[in-house]
Amino acid sequence: MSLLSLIIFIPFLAAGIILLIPQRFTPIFKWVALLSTSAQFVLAIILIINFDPQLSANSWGEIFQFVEKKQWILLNLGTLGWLSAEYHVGVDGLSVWLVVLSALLLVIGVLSSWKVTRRTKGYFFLYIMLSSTIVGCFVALDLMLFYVFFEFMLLPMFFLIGIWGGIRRTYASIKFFLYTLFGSLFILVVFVGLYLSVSDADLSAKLTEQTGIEQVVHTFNMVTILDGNYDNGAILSPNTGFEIAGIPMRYWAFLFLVIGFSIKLPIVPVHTWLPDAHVEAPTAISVLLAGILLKIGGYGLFRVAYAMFPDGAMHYAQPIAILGLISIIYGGMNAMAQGDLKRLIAYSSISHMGFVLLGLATLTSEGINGSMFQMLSHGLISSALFLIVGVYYDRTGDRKIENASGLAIRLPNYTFFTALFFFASLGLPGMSGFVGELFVLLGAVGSENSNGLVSSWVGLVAVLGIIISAAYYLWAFQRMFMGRFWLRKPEWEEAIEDLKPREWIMLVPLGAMVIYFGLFPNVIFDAMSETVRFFTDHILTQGVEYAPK
Amino acid sequence: MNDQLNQILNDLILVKADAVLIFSSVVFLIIGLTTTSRLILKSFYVISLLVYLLLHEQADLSVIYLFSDFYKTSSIQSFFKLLFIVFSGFLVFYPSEKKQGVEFYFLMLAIIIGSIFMISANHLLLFYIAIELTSFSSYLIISLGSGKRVFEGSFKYLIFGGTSSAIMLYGISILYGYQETLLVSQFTYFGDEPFYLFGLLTAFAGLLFKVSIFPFHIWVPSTYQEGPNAAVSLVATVPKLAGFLVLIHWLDGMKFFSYDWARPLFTLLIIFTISIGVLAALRQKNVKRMVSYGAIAHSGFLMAMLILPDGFGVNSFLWYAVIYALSNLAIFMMISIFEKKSIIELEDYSGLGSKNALLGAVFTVILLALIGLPPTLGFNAKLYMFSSLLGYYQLSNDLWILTLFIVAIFSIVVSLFFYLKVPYNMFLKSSNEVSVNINLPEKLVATIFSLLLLLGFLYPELLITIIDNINLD
Repeated sequence: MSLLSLIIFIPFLAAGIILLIPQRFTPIFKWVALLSTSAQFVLAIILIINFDPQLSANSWGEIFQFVEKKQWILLNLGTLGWLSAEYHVGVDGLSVWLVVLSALLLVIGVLSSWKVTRRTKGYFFLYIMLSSTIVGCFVALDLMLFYVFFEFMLLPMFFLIGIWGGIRRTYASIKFFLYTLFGSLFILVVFVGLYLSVSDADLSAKLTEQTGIEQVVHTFNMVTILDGNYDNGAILSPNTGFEIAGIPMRYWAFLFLVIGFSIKLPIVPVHTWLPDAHVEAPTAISVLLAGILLKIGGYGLFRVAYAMFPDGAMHYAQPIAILGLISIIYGGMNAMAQGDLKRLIAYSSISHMGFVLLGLATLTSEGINGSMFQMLSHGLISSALFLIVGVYYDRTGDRKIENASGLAIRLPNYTFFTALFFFASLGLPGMSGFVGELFVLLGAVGSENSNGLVSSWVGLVAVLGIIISAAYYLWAFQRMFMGRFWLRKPEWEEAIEDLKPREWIMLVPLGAMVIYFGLFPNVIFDAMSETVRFFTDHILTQGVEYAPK
Repeated sequence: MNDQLNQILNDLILVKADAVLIFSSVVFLIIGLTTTSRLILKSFYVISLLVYLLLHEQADLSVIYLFSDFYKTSSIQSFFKLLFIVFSGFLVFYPSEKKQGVEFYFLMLAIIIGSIFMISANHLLLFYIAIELTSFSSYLIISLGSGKRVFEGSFKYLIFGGTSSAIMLYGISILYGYQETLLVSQFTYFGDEPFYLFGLLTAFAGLLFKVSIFPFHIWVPSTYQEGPNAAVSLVATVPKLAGFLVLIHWLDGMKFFSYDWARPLFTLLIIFTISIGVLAALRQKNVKRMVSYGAIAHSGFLMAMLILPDGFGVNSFLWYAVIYALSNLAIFMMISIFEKKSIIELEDYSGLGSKNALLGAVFTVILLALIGLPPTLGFNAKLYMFSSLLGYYQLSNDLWILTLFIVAIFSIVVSLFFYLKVPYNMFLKSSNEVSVNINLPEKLVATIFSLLLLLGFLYPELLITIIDNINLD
């Protein structure tokens, strides 16, 4: 079994072990979960060390490393031809980092669930299933496999929020489920269309030889699709004249994918599930939600929407950039209006994810690098921020900004970390948040002159987003941490105490990485430069080639 | 004369399994006079089915007509017969209910026999006898339910069923008048003769009643809700799938889609069926009733694949049918297990999940399969259906099919909403956290059913090999 399969399937083993241990051995479950996620993390580190960043590629088939491929479904559908789906995994410069990030945050998530006492068996079982599907989603190179992981993730998440969440947990979990499923159906439609339009030449030849009759094998293989092996006249093939309401089918497909993945990302106006889900979710689940699950939306845009529909990406570059801009500004404004610290961070996530979409939409090298970097850095920062809120909530059971002030006096260490991650999130130079946003803005402003897809004003207005984020973070910090020490309820004063060792263990590595990647962003940029170069070239050349004539 | 007799004897050998099944149902009735032991009855029921499996011969790929063209057999028929038999065999694992004596199992056998002959009939008279055999047995078996309003359910079924049979017979008689034969394989295209068209539509109406397509679906909820679970599971699967198979035969034999209006009309009916099924299910408070509305929607999905021409949908239909049978087997088993503990309404399920995590998980898997989410076989079923619809659309640019496709997609979101009410009540509500004491064998069987739905998804080769061996013409 190769490295990637191990990372995906170790959790299954652990989940089996958890199922076998009787309920009464409660303390064991978290150890099994910790062991399983740590194993994933170690493997992820081995993966990134052995990953060859210099590998240059001229086609999608060459860009993926650690590839593993096995036939999964090969099915005769009569007149429709054959359907082929594979167990096909591999990583490139984009996904390898997301795997590492996920593995790290999954370990931190287990640590932050250490104090879960209710129904621990179920909790850690679902958690481990989640850890498998998340990684699976990032490494899948087959659309069906990707979709399976993408969908299956909803279920553990639904129960984790719905059973272990806060007061309005059922509402939040159902809203989360419905929104995401709704989005994923848009994605499914496109996937079905894509596989019907693409065929695998080798398999077709093989089956034709076996049966003696001409056979066509339609495939879900992402690499085959990315390399553009479209059939003539199929529904999503370029230049076929299929259109609905005057818009070519491929543009519809691109828009559907953008809608589907935007719900996951999330982008205004389909973002409303996120604040609810975050507020109600237990801390560890918030960490995963903000740190990794949102990135799956971003990753889907990179891997599927943009890479497979470069023509749509170029055609709709400006509107999508504006959508990103709206998210940045609207998310930031909303964050400023929140009285609940967790809600504030949730909205700030929406604002920061707007940068991801904006950077991607520009289709410039800076923008795409920045967008990718922003995903990684936001994964680190936002999960740390949710941990910060969790620390306060653990002690007081409250998250209202107005209910506390002067925390700096009693909790110096806590205040230090809060300040660190607030500043990182608002984009202070020297920390990772700055690098991502800077590159995105460079791309957005520069796009008009380099490829002419996005007007410069979009980038200029987006700068406002950074100012807004500075405003809400500093204001929240000033209200909660500065001034005279005061808490709304006297009993909180006894409960409140500074960071415990377990919390140090979670926050220190995140803080160190935020600063390290802020100072040396090249560590990440170098490893993905080849992929980003190929990705950008591919989109710009194929985008012109596929565009309706 | 002698030749004819020899011919009949030769033909009989080819259908010996079907003949022996009739014979064993009679023997079953005699044995039933001597014993009331449920174990003996159940074993004999299983033995009759096993004998069928032993005697059954896989038919050739091409269609063969027997008994002067009354009876047809080909690989698709044999496949469905086997499916019916295997499915019905598993029904003995359902927990027994009160009024399940000899007549219960006899009626089950009668329904199976009726369905087997229904799909084999080429002559409309034979078809009519077969469909009436299943119908009458179904009316009776539903009335053996133990619910309070079982009378309403079975009577509704009888009234609607009787009326639609009469209408269908009327239609068949008109068809006979024009075609001068009752052999479907010898029908010719008759053009736009209004009275002929009237006959055609009325004949189809009876068939659509069997497969619960709008507007002939109204009997389903009450009937399913009140019937004994094993019988409901059977009625919802075997005669329904048989009805669809007859539909394939008729649509082809009567050249129905040669009429321009035919495909839009059927598409519209399907759209209504799916929408009404899922929308009405939203408001149900009783789990079995909710599932029966879901079953109406599934009828719509099944039929959606049959209105596509040139084999665009038949492979997908086969898959859907098998998966539908499997999920029906599982869902009614689950409902039956809980019904025995007086857990019937949705709210009775509140909080059960915390003490019965395994059953809750199994239930959730089955419902996921019914919705069509991975990682269950239900996803494959939906995926192949969507492929068929979109594949045909890309060839024909037919906007009706596109609309149907969109409705089908949206219905999944809606069905998520109601099917998930069960796990929602079980796990997310915490009103009565009691442990339901369910005996191990029942638990085990339910778990195995749901595991099949999972394993079939992860390792699809087995089903693929079986289904690939069928010729679809």
